[in-house]
Amino acid sequence: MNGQLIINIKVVGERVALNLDGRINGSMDWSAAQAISRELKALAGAAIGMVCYKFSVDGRPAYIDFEPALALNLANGLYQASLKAEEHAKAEAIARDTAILYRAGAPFGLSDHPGIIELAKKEAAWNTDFRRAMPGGVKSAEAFGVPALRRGAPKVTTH
Amino acid sequence: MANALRDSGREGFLAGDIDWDANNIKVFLYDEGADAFNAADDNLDDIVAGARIATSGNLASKTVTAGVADAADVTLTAVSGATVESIEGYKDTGTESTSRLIFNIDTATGLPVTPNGGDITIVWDAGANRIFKL
Repeated sequence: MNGQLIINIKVVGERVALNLDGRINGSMDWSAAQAISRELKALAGAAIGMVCYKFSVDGRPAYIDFEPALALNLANGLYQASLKAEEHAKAEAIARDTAILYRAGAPFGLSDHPGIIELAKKEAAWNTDFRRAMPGGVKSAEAFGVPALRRGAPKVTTH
Repeated sequence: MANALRDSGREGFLAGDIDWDANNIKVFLYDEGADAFNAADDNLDDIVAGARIATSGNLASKTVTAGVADAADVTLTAVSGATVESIEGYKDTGTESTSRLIFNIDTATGLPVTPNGGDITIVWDAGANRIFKL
């Protein structure tokens, strides 16, 4: 294969879609995309000549040869797409973790996805179970003034 | 410890069992040497009588504006007895076993105080939190 291979990577919900010039055209879950990315990076780093990678399409092997630089680009692209797909797959958990941070007063989140941030805000505001996730519970916000005690003069008794 | 609401006080406010400006609220001078502070105490009968050096009358002029509990300064007359380490506030129902403990104040100007037979006046903070703010 030469360096003209057209790579098309897309995130489709929790999956990563990959099209390599029509020779490989399918989708995988985010963890598979990360595994392929790691393997391609390792192969590209160690390659002297071309990198040959075996994809599995519908249970059948499909071998593609890459220039090492192209393999690295594909690995990086798959990794970036897998992170977005993973974020989508774990949106609820990320929102809950972010909500715990919000409840603890930390002014930052774990995602920049508007939908996840919105969900985290709702969870932080309404999910009373988070009290159990706070170390020592949610502290009461009561505040006290500091009174003063004035001791009067001792009573004088007269006989 | 620090100045704080007792759990029984928080619970009372949430359950509607304590109406700050309508109920009889009293304070007493607490000798913690006679009966050590225990966060689990929830009613007046949990603190032995001997540790209550002097008890006020009902707090007067109580207000609740903006969640801030306030009242007129209170004077305990002719106080004698052991050294006092804190001020305890409670709702007086007339029965010790149902009189909820509300707050404990152990940080105040003049505490601890050793009574000398004279009057002791508690001057509540004039700042934003007054006695306490929920």
